Amino acid sequence: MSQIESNRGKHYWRSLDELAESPEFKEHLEREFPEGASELGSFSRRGFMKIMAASMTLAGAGGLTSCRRPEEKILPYASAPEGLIPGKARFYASAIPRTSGSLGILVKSHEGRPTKIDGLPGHPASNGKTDKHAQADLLSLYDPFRLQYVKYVENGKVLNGADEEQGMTPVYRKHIKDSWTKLGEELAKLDDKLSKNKGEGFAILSPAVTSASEESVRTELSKKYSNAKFFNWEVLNEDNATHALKVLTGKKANDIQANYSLTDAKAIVSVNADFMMSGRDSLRLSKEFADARRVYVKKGDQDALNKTDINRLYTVEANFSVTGSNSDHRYRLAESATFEFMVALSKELSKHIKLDASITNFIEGFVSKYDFAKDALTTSKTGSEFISAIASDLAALKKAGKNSAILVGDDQSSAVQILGLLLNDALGNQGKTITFSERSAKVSDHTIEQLSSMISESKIADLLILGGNPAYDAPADLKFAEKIASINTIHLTSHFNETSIASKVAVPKAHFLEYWGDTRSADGTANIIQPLIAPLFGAVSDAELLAKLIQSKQTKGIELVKATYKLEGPAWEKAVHDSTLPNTAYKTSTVKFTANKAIANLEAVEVYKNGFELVFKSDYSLLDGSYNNNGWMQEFPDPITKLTWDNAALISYKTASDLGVQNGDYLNINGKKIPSWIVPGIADKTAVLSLGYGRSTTGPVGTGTGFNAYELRNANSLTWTKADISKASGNYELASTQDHWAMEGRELVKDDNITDFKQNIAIFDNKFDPNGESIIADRAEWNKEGSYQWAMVVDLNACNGCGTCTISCQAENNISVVGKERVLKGREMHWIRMDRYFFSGYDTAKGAFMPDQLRSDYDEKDLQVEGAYHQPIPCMHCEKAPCELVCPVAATVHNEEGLNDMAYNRCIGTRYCGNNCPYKVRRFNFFQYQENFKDKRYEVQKMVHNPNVTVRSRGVMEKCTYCVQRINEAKIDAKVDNGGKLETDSFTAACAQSCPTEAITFGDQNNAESKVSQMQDETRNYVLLPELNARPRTSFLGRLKNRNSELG
Amino acid sequence: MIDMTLDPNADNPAQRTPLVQGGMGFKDVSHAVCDISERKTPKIWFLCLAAALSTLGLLKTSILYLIWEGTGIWGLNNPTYWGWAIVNFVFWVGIGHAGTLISAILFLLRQDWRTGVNRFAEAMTLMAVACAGVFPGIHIGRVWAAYWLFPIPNQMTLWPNFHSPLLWDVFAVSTYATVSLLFWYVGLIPDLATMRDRAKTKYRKIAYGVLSLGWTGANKHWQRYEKAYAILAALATPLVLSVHTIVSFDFTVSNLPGWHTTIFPPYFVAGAVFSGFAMVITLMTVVRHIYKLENLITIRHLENMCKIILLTGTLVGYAYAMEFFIAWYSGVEFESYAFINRAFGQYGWAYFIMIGCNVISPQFFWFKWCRTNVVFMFIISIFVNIGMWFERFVITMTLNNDFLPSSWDYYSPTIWDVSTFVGSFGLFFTLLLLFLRFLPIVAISEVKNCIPEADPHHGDHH
Repeated sequence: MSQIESNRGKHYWRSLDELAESPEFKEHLEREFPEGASELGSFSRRGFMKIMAASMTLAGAGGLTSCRRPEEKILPYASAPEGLIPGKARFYASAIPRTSGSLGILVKSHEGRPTKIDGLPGHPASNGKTDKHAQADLLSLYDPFRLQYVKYVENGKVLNGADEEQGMTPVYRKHIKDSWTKLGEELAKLDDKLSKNKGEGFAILSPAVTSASEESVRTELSKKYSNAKFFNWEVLNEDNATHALKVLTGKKANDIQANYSLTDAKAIVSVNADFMMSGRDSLRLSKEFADARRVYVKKGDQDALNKTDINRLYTVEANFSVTGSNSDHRYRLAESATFEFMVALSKELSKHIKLDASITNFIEGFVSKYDFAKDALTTSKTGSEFISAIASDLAALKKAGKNSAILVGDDQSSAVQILGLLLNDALGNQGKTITFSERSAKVSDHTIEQLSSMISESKIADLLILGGNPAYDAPADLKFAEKIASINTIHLTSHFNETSIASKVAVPKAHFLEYWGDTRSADGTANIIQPLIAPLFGAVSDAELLAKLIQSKQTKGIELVKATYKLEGPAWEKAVHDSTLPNTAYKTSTVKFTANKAIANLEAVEVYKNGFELVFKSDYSLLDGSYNNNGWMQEFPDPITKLTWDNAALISYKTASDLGVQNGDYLNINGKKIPSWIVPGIADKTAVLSLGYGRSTTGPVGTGTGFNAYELRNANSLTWTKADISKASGNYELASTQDHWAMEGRELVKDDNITDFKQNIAIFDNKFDPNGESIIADRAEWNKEGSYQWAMVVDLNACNGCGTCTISCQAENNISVVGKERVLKGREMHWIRMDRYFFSGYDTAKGAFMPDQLRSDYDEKDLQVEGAYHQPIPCMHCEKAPCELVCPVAATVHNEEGLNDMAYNRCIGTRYCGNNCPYKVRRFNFFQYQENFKDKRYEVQKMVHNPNVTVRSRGVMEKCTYCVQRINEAKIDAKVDNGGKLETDSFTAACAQSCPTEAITFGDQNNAESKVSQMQDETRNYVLLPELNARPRTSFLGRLKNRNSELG
Repeated sequence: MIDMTLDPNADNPAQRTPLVQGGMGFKDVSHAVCDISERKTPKIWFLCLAAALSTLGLLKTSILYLIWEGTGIWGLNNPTYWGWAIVNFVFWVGIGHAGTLISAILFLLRQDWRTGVNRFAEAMTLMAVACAGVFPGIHIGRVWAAYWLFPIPNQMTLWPNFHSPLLWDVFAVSTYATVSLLFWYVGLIPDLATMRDRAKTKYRKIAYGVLSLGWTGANKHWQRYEKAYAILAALATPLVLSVHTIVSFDFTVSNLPGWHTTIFPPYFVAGAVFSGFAMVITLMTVVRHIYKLENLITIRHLENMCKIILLTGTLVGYAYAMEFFIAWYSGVEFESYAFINRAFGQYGWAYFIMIGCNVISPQFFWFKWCRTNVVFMFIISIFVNIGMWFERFVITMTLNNDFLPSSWDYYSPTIWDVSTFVGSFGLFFTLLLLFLRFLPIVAISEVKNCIPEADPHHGDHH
């Protein structure tokens, strides 16, 4: 207290302690922190170092120092290519070289890597569309199992093998380089030898040539090695048609080809032709066919409806083809009876129109073993009634001054081809639906049979095989693999295959996105092929290899092309930019047939009856086998059988029950065990086996898939062969994506006959609409002012079920390939699938087709299967989406533009949405499907991914997004360029973009101008499962048939 | 005057058999129950535990492999996105129904016979719910994100979707588990105190001492205990109905034919009670025999449960018939097809197993002999257990054939589906064995209430 007294004056104090200046308070002032907080005490530097060292050690010992994110090196664009904006795709015009007519394409490229192939607008063959193989070519580019370096082979062993699994290590790069250096030396040696002996004993085997620059190199080669011989081989060829034309016109093979046009054909008879899926210019033909069937009539516009006139398709076939499934009348007939059918048709036609006398004579003298009158087409009609109905239909059209077309499949015998051409001529179709021009794909006169015998006679010492895989796909009786193994064979090939392993040298062939070249379309239009990427592993084109061999002054593709077309400067730049060279199409003309010269060919036909036969068909996925190592194609469900990853012997229900087999049971066909698969609508006593499977030397994707049809295919039986078929022991598991044949009487695909439709357009109306309002009026409910409202309409009348949409979507949206094992479990990932339902005959009383007639008693119904419905099913983007309601974490939600969005990051994978989706369009990532890419070898395949689409991880649901990335990109572009307003139909979804028949329309339904909103106003517009009231944004236009009233 | 003969077969309601037989007194009851855990652990118990633990190991292995590889190891496919995991979940949740029903509803209805079986049934409920709880968590594609199902505040302001029945499920099952656990534990307190009081070893004294929460048996304690118990019973009662109702919403709220039916909630609850009682009988008949508890868990107890099985089994049978009737009566082609396909389609065999086990087998309980023969009721209860698993399987498999025939497929389970299901029994039996060994398996204090001596007027002269 004394201290208190000693202080005077104004004094502020915080506490009595301070006032008293107690020692405790003094200590408190000195200390920064309250008691206990700064107890560390004095710290020596030594001590500090000790503690720090210990801490660092501990941190290290815990493994934390090595716990880092994986190191990834990125390269900055220190000097960016001019005009390149990272993240912004660029498009380049090019072309896919094909002997069946090359396809103009527009390739999307992200930072120098091609990510999507689409059709080049305005191109005569593609017209902005593609087929699924064009889409799949993208994956082939990045196939890590392409031939990566020049392989030298001795007795089936690769001499210069390398460890490819480690990816592009410096050692491996050097290995690749060395292999090419060695090739240069080898070619120089060969050239040395051939220059001296003028190419004696040297042969080149290749498919038909469509490249002018390659032709010029070949000419140069022929000059240098004047004795060199050129041979021709490819599986899917036009040899029979060419032969028929040669016989009828006397022209040379390369001077003539028949070009069909279906635009004006009011009736089309397809004789095993399958023109929608295979053969020259199938894209254009399917588009023309679909265009001639379009019926767009607004509700209530009866006048316009009455005026519509659509074409009619008759199909005669042994297989059940996609074309057959789309026909108005389909007659399943043994492949061996095709010629007899053509004769019977000619006979019937001769009653109406005048045929050449020699033909009439032949017909009269021809004794058909096949009794069409007894062959039941349906329960009420026979084969001869079918034939006479076609004949009178065709004749009536001719009388009315209209056109028809008879299309004969490329694989049909030249006798059938001859009759087809003559009938077309007699029906007055020349110059209208059939014209003639120079041949676009040039062939050499020598065949593989000739080559084979020359090798046997030791006349060939050196053989250069340009592409293809003859050791695998040449006629089995040639034993071609043994032949080429006996001589010095150089094989230019994209993959190391059966031919490569039998050769001495396998040279990597460049993908068409990797080299400079040129190619001709079916109509002769020339296209520049420009590379979008440097060869991934080092590769050359056909022309480049030939130029290298002959030690030409010019061996670079670009220079060869420039020289061939004499293009320089701006003209060259324009040519590259456009790819298509204008006015290069061949002139078309009419020709005169001399029918009597063909009689010998017709008389030579041997008629076969009453036995089993095996029919070979190009595979819808693998074609002749060239897409064997392509996962997209392997997993593509065949449009008819829905099989993936395998082929099988397709047999009719009746044949199956006669043989006592079920799906997957092995059959013994000419000594080979092949599993069976029942397809209703295949000719009885026939097994159809597609080509391209059962490869022995291929990449891991193709290994172990399917059965090799080529082993059963001889030089004289390339189309079909007599067969011994019996049940064999055992069973093989086949992976199909759709097991069910029928619609179970549900209104899923609506269809009608055009004549009935004209009388009662209400058939497509929504009978479930509770308020009696049309579904169209309902749509307006969601169209908020000033917003985009996305919608899709699929015209089932235009869709032929080809499945291009499925693969285009797969390419666009980084959809995983899951493999056979998982397809078997039903886990395929396709976002837009193609549903297929078979249907039987037309019920005149009901005015409808009978899709559910297949339920029981297959025996009889099998007979009646007349076609199949194809229905592409993408996400319906329901306004009242059942999936959204049930997701517990709100991972799938509706956006203001009507899209049913998936937030992958939010999805935890309860899969409830998948259960509740009535359309079953949702796809689940049951595994980490991208795990493959951990393998170093797959590094390159990652490049196929679209950078604008998330690659989904395991445990996440995914589905069609209406290509939301495209929508947003278009909106962003519009914001930059157009003040935010999207132009009508300025972009579309991937499926719609590639659809060859323009069956899919996508756009803004809130814009009355847009194509999609007009499609929604169509009479035939309907939605799937309307009674569920999910209000789908995706709707359909019903299918129309054009029945011949004579056939009911 | 009432004749008090101790006839266990007396069926006259006015002459009900006593619930505790053999003339047991208070001390006898305590001894009979507590002695089970106090006597030396029998070797057979260790053997059983070893078996149960290895089955639990199977569950663990299956789950680890599942998390490592993905749900693809199961037989799921595109139309059938839910398989055995959901079947098992509903199966176990259903079994979990008996306990709460016995303890809560029968308590409120003053059904004294519940006392003999309620502790066991409640414990079984918790074990079954634990087994059920395994499945929703692991069946999702991204297990590591399962906690997103809970409304946890986060910086992205993401919230679960309260429209989704799966979310209701999360709340329903977790609430049910919590309340059941509390209810069970509150009921245990007096008995734990008894165990504590009888404990001879130090560890037992500490363990039961802690667990009994300082129970002294004071009047105040009993008063509060009774109040708490009654409140919990009242809380648990609606949960008995709600939890399986909400589980059934997982199916009914969807629009699938065969799932989208209004009959599901009552039918699921009846089915759950049905399966729960069957499981209680399955286990109880064995346990009472092994532990010689025939005087506490009498034939009357078992018979009563058989009667409930008969009732609920018949209800379930009615529901099956009604589903078919409505499918036909509605005229909806998808629904009609779904039901015809359910009975005569690819899984027809499963449907008839279900009918045989669930509808036909309980009908034997119309006969008194069947209701009172322990071996017979054990066999029937096994049938019911099987049948009820198949019921859920049949319902779930309706997924195979919905609207578009193009998507129809066939589901077949893989070895991992089977091992996960079998493994869940490992969890169940591990918990059961621990319960049998360490806790009073009969509610001692409650049973004592049922002894005539417990009546305040017992021995009074009239």
